[in-house]
Amino acid sequence: METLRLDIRHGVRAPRKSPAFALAAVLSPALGIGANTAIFTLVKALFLQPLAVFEQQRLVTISTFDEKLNGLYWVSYPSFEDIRNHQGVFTGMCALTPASLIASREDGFPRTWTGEVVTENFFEVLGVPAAIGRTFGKRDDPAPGRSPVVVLSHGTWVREFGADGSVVGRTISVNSQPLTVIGVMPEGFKGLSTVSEPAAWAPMSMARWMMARPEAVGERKALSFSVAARLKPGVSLKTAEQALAPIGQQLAADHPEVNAGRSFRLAPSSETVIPPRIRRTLEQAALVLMAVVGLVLLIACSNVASLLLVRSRNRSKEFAIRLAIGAGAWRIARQALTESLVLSLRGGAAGLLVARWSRDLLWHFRPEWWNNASFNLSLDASVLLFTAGVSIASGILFGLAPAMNSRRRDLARELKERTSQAAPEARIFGLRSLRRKLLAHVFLDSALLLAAGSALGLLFGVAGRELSWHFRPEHLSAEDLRHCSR
Amino acid sequence: MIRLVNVEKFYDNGPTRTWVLRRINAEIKDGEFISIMGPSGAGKSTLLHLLGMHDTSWSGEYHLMDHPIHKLKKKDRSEIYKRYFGFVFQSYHLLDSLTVYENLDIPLSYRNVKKSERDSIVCDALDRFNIVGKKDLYPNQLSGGQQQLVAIARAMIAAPKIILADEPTGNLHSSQGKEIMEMFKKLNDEGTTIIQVTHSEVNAAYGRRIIKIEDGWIATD
Ligand SMILES: Nc1ncnc2c1ncn2[C@@H]1O[C@H](COP(=O)(O)OP(=O)(O)OP(=O)(O)O)[C@@H](O)[C@H]1O
Ligand SMILES: [Mg+2]
Repeated sequence: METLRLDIRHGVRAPRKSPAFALAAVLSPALGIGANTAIFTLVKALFLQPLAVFEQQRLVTISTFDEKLNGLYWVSYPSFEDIRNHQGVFTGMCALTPASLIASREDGFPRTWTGEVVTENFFEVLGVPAAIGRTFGKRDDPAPGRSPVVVLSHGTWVREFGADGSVVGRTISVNSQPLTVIGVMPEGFKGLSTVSEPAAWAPMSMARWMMARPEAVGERKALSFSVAARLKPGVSLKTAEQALAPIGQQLAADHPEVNAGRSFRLAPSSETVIPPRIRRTLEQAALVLMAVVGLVLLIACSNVASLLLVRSRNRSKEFAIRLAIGAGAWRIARQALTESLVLSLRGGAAGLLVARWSRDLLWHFRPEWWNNASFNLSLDASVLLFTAGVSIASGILFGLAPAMNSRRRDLARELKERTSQAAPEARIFGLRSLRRKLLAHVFLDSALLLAAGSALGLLFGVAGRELSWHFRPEHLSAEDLRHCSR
Repeated sequence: MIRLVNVEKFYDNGPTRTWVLRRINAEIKDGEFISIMGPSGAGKSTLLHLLGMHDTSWSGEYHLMDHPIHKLKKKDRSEIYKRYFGFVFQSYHLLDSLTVYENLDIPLSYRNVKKSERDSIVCDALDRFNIVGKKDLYPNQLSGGQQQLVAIARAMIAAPKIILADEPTGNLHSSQGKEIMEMFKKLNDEGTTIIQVTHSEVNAAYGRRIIKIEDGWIATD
């Protein structure tokens, strides 16, 4: 342990002797590690963010599987009610459908919000209370039009109402209906999604005024509701899915014109935080991005490795001296490795700066519909852990070659007194070629990073445009209808 | 202590074979102070590095106490070297990136001496060589004589049985050379075996025995 500390101290000091080298050796991994960290923050925000709900592991999503179309779809409202009335495996089931809401305050301009119309038990099933005021409950009459109320998201509350607590109890006009704001949800609550935060939630009793096509509520062919359910304690996802099979068969028998060849499938809610069709696109985009930044990191590592090799040849005398004063080959290798780890951790620290900068740049290219998504893109503990991991891995990667190189050399030749020093031209040439190498490496790296960056921007733009189409509620229902009306 | 039997070494330069050491037979006893002398290119440094096990390609027998060095693997040799030898180079070969203190500390750390023990050993040595005031300086901040003093301090820091020195005063003013020779004398009086290569008759006079080498052969012993 103690000798390791010594190695680290020498490792920290060694780069000081050649600042140009140290700069390049920090810059290279900083670019590589930074790019990886930026993409990781993004991937984490998209795929690894837990839903802000109570006991997410018990929350499942129910979808319709259609044999002929061989795909998963949302659920029709009549089917939702049939399942709800006949199942015995859930403590609660809720449904939601996206809705375009034209909202205007008493004084202000109208705004278009993307909100959701949800069953009255929505917040109860998710197990999330309001941050201010209340959510829907027993005192809201489920009869159509009798409970003109709305719950706001935290983002809406901040953006549109200046985080004014007195908004609860106020009446705003939504789709020309006067709705009373009864509550504001906590920050980070996005319902069943992690990619976009609905602006507001209206109860099913107001569906007639809030939905673009309210008649869909009564249609078995309109698969326009996303359905979530909470498993009873001790009930597995498989058991619950099997329990739904007879209900599906009954529906197919009762309504063969629509439900023939359809059954219900369950998935953990964590897998459906991104709608399945969009998820595929996003996953592919993420894979491409990770591959690109992974390559950038590999190149950065090979750069540093060759830099270290060049230097270790310059330093072979030092290593020879160390061997001659009793260092074991293992100690020398360990020292080389420690030095490269010190370098790579420095690179990682600088990489965090690069990550912040490139994350902001990426964020600049984000699809329009992410504007209100309240993503968690902070460089938090898990990101730091990721960066440290990548740094150490690359340190080992680019330290390996010099460490191996230090093992075989002719000691006597290195140590023997030379009457004539190495020719000065040779040294200048060595320095020049080293510098040229450094410059070339840094340029190559930057070029690659720029290429990767533009690729990212492009992908973001393309994916964003495609996805924003899916995300408009009117498109969602229209497309689903197209699928169902065979 | 050391016994060499028919030790030979050559370099192959294309078709020609250059012999550097020929049929070296020698016996060196514990506590001796030996000077190796001879003209330039005679093979003195080669012999010294062979004794210090920096060189691996030679033939013959090399016995160090009970160890048949010529039969040992590289790893075992370096263990033995670590245990018995200290080496002083003509051009000091201090580690530039370390302070005087650290230069003395590092051989001990390579021998897994505990930190507390190391501290007291290094302080003793600094004291003994009169370089306490220089302990936080880097080698390039020292004069040549001071650097060589540090190099000798480093060579004896781990209390070696044998010190090998290749022209230790070669780059020094004669008064500094004298100081270093006195130091060797003192170490030798305390029981350390010393083998030095030197061109100087004055330095050689500190030793009790002179081995003369010419063209790779031992000329006189
Ligand atoms: N790599 C090598 N290839 C060929 N010959 C070599 C090589 N290294 C050394 N020699 C030769 O070995 C001989 C002995 O060299 P060595 O360094 O031992 O001489 P030396 O006695 O120490 O001389 P000096 O007093 O100048 O230091 C020299 O003739 C030298 O040319
Ligand atoms: Mg010599």
